[in-house]
Amino acid sequence: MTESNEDNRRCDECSAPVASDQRYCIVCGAHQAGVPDPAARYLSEASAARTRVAAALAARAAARGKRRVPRLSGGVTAALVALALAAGFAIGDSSGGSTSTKSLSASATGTTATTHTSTTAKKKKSGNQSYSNQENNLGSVVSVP
Amino acid sequence: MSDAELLTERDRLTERFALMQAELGGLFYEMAIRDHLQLEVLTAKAAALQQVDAELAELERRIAAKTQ
Repeated sequence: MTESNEDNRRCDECSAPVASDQRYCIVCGAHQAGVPDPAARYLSEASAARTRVAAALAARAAARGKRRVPRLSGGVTAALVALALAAGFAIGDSSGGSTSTKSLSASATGTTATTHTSTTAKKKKSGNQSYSNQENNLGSVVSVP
Repeated sequence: MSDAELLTERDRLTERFALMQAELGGLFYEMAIRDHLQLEVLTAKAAALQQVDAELAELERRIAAKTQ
């Protein structure tokens, strides 16, 4: 920095005499503070403006990110879970218990499952005959392994 | 160094380069209007500016290589 004396100002770096309107010391090249410098003012204003724009863009991006993922309150979450459970029970009731039993028996008896279904259909026509067919099917399943 | 850090460093060096270049021009103007050109002082300032210029070029090269 320079000294406050207007006529005998000196450079803070090299102590060379500098004029009151001198922006740079012509001996060492140091910048002199307190002298109006349009280039330095322009650069600092441009830098400040760029910082403001960057901050505004970052804030806008953060706000947009918050809007994309809305937070659910506890009540809404509980209601959604209850709704999902109710829908699950309703689907289970409408399909009936036979479906799950069928799939279990199909996996247990393997290829004889189709035969078992056909004998069940025949059972409506004649009960004892279909029962013996079922026994035959079971016997074949047991003997296969 | 991550992409964001590279871009931040590039901005910092660009600002520094612009400031130093403005200072070099201002110093030459100051010497010229007072008829007191000191070539060695100007050359020293130009050398410092050249160092920043080289750093900036290297950084630009790294950023370009990352984006490809």
